[in-house]
Amino acid sequence: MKYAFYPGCVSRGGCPELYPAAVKVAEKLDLELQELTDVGCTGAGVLSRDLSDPINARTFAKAERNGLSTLMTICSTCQGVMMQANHRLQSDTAYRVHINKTYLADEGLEYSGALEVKHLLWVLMEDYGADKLKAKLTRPLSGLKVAPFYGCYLRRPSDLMAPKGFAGRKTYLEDLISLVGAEVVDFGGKSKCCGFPILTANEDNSMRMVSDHTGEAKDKGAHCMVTPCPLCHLNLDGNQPNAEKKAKKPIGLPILHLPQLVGLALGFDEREMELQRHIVPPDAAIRNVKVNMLS
Amino acid sequence: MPEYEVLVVGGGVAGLRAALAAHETGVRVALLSKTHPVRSHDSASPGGFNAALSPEDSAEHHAQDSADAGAGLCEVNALKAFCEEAAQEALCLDHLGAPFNRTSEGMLALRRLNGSRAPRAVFAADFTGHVVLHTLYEQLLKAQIPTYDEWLVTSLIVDQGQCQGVVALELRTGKLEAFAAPAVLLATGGAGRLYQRSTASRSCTGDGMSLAYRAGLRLVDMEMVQYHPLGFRAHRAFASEATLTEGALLCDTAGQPVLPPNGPFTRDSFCRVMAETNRGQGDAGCLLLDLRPLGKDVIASHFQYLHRIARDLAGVEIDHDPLPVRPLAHRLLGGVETTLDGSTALPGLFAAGECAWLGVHGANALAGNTLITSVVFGRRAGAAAAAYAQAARPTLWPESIVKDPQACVDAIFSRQAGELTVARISHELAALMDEHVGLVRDGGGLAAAAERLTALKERYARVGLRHHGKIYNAELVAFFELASLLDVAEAVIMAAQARKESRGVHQRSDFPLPNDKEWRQHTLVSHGVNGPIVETRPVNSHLSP
Amino acid sequence: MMQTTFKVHRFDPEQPEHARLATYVVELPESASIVDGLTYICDEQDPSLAFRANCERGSCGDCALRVNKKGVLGCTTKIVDVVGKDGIVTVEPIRHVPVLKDLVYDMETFLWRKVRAVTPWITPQAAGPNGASTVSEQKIAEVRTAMSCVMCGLCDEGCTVVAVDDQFVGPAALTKAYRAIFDPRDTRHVERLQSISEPDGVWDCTHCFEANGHCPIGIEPTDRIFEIRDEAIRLGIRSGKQNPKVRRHYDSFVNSVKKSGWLDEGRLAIESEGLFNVRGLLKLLPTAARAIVRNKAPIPYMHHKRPGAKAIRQIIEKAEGKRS
Repeated sequence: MKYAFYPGCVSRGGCPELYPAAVKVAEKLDLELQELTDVGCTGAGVLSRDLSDPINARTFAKAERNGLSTLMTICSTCQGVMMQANHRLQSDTAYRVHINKTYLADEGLEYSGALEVKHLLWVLMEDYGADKLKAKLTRPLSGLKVAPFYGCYLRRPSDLMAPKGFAGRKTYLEDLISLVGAEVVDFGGKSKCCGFPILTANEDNSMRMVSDHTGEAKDKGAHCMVTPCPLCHLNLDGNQPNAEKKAKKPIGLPILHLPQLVGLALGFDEREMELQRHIVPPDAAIRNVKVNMLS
Repeated sequence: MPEYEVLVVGGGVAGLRAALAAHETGVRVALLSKTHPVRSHDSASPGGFNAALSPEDSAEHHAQDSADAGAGLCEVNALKAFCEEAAQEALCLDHLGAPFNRTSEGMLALRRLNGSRAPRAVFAADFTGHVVLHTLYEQLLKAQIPTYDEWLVTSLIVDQGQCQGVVALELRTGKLEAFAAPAVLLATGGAGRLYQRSTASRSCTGDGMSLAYRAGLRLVDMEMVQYHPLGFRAHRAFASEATLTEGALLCDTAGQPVLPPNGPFTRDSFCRVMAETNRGQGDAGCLLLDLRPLGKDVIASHFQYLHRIARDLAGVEIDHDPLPVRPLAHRLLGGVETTLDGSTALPGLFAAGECAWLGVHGANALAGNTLITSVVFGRRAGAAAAAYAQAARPTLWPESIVKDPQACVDAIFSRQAGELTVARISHELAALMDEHVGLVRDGGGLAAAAERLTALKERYARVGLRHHGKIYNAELVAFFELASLLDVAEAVIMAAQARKESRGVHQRSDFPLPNDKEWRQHTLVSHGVNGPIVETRPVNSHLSP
Repeated sequence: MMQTTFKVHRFDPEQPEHARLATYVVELPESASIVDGLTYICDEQDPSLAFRANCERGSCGDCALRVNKKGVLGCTTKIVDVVGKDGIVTVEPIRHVPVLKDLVYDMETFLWRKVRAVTPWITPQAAGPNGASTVSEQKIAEVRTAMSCVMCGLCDEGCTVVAVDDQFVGPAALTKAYRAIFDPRDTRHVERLQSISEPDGVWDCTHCFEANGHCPIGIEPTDRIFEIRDEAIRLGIRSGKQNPKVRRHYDSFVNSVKKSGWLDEGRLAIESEGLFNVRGLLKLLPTAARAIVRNKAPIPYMHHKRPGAKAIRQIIEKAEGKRS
């Protein structure tokens, strides 16, 4: 299985632990990743679509030029923004022609509209398959209670992210948590927004979202939370101390990146998954698993 | 006590337009309505409204088509004023930002509706009433006209032969309050809830017609109940007739087209064809409206509301499957007798919109004429009410006129609640109207209806309420609404009994033909001391309130 | 006919201690809606139940309710489509709104005040030569779709931000704002974009796309919000007067992508606060210190240029030069 690989900015910037964790997991599973290095930021929902659509079209054209039909992301936000841009480019031929002509022709690039954009989570559950993945696991994470946190971009808009025939995408995180032997802690906030996009516009609301979601999962007995989105991670992990201060209550819920959870079950240790780089130390959660491995 | 110069009762298209017109003259206006204005029944009006805007069209043509549909009962002066102003009002709505459909040149697009010789209907896909209502509501906000949302008028205040205000119930608190105003304008809408199988919203209970009737005013042409041919089989929704003029087919259940190609077809003849086709099938009877010939794109740009609602309510995807339809009671063409300026025979009381009658629709409303009637005559009535209020002496009625309003509710609550309930009487009323005063009537059925109505009125006089709470007491509201419906039903049945012929939407199997010699007449029903009084008046004779 | 158990939220401010979920069994035809069920309860069993409904065909928006924990229009939601496996339908008022009685709630604080706040009426120019304006159907079609909104408030009910902050203008009022902003006949285009950019306005939306999923009409309020933002950016309005941080953040984001092809988060954090905003920068310190301690932020801080940076800069410059 060969993919054009789009790691995104944050997996190397604000969450430098994500990139190595994802790459190691992909290697272990023999996913062949061809990283795109000369492509730009998706815009992350911040940039005006007037700017980001052409940049994303360029990324798609680059992937196509390399002869690949699927682009893999490890960031829900990149996934969502690219998928929406791709939808516009695919469904509106005149628009695609306009973007190609105006922005890509200078570099001799052209996007045909045939690329598929897929998050690692979907790649694992759809292309790789649960059975094959299960066979690779060497360390079941039994005893670990994990709260899934989808965030927005892998769920919505739902007709785009989970079209007919892909309803399973609504439960992949839970499925994966069960698959690695951990226990799912279901909670209301799992597909809500983490608040990161309004950190600059309204910090109070943003922090309130962090404390609401992490607090709820913690109260329901989660040892940790797992998210497919590094931007959610920046807020839920990086800003958890700030959110605790605003909410005037301690939370202390470690947040794992999706590949870290899979990586641990594949036998990588916490150093290899670079868990020490998190703001909320996941030590306690991991220790919990180790105890179970010894018993 | 709140005091205004003009008090508009009803927040639909007519009421909003009236309030804005009055406000423009500088008088103090308030709008009082039973529901929040944007919840008004007009939001359900789909296909468009007539305005002679195209170069090939004219107000005269518009008037002629209306008169042809109206089967000899239209008032010439009313039609003339209406058709001339409809075009102005259409342009005014466009100017205020109503997002009507456009031609490729960017001009207002016009669609032809049944009975019109030319494309004449301005439209916004198939939710035209909705955008008109919301556009006017925006203007109401702009004008900062005070609104009393969810207030139900329970009575008019009449002193020395003049209407001087209203008493109203605030749903949220249960308190009754008197409002003083030298000019009161009723824009309370229709009474479609007389019928079980109707297109009417819950608020269409004839409140204004009843208030006027109780004040001694005449209700005109109340036997004229318009049915809509394209109602849903088991719901109140209906498809715009524009579907047919834009290429949809109407077939019987065997798939055979039932309408002659290329109409024109007026609603009344249309409903009769459908009734004939379904004869003997009872509730199961229906025809199939097939929109597939329109194609997905036209459905998306012109019928997006129907697309959604057919899916949600009937479970039909109209671009894949035909939609079962049958006629539903749609609206009353009759109402409170008014002049072209909306004044009534009671000084200080005005009326506009569906609750009012001017003679524009005659015995059958031309498709596309109803919504814009509310706009045109809403404006006229609002302006006239403002002029009247400015000339009137300030209202100074003695407090004693309004007997402790709360006492009226206390008296209702003091009645014994028993097996008999407001809801049951309402259901029986609607069932009897469906059965005997529907699409086709006859003398025997109407007599039975009159008899059953008398019994229902007696029961109503005894009915008690089971719930005595103050806040949002729906049973109390239903109690007042039922009184209105019983009044309106009385007028409809009396007028239908009187008109011994078939004309327009009034079809009698015992008098299947029109009788022009005797019946180019309007029926007028008024509330006498010893029961209702029915009179007639020749068409186009001078109105002398 | 079918039998269904309704559990209905009851609350009477005259007897607040009696708030409860009351159980009723209703018997109705297959075609019946939630509103039909509530009407049946009122008529046949308990006339004290209060709820709002009017048109019964999904056009007036009066009957927005929470049915089995999902916001719906009660009149276009059929009982058979939502009844649980247990045969139960639970009906509650929508969330985040003061309840007045049972299923009746206060739309004034929840929605109407916000609708008024976006000055939703058009301020047109003088009428055209023949009285009617000339407007492209393509443009007006979008306004028309936005105006098919029935003001049910279900998008606000499902909104991520409204849930934590009732001052946020919310997707319904923003959809109304869209209608006015994009009406080609309006003359206050720029003013509108400026005022909607102030705090609690369009930039406070997390664009989580919840609103799209909650709108019963299919208007896609989140997309409308994006369109408002894009238009504001086109006109150089990247924030209101009272939230300049939003503008600094946007500018830093664009400059960073322009310069290196991708995002420089360290720089973004600092530039968003503003280089002369000492207090804001000090606020960043604990977060930065934690990041350094945990080896999240590399020392010395470096941000490398991407190979495609130059081409990306050219794209941005071209796009910024194009004002549609």
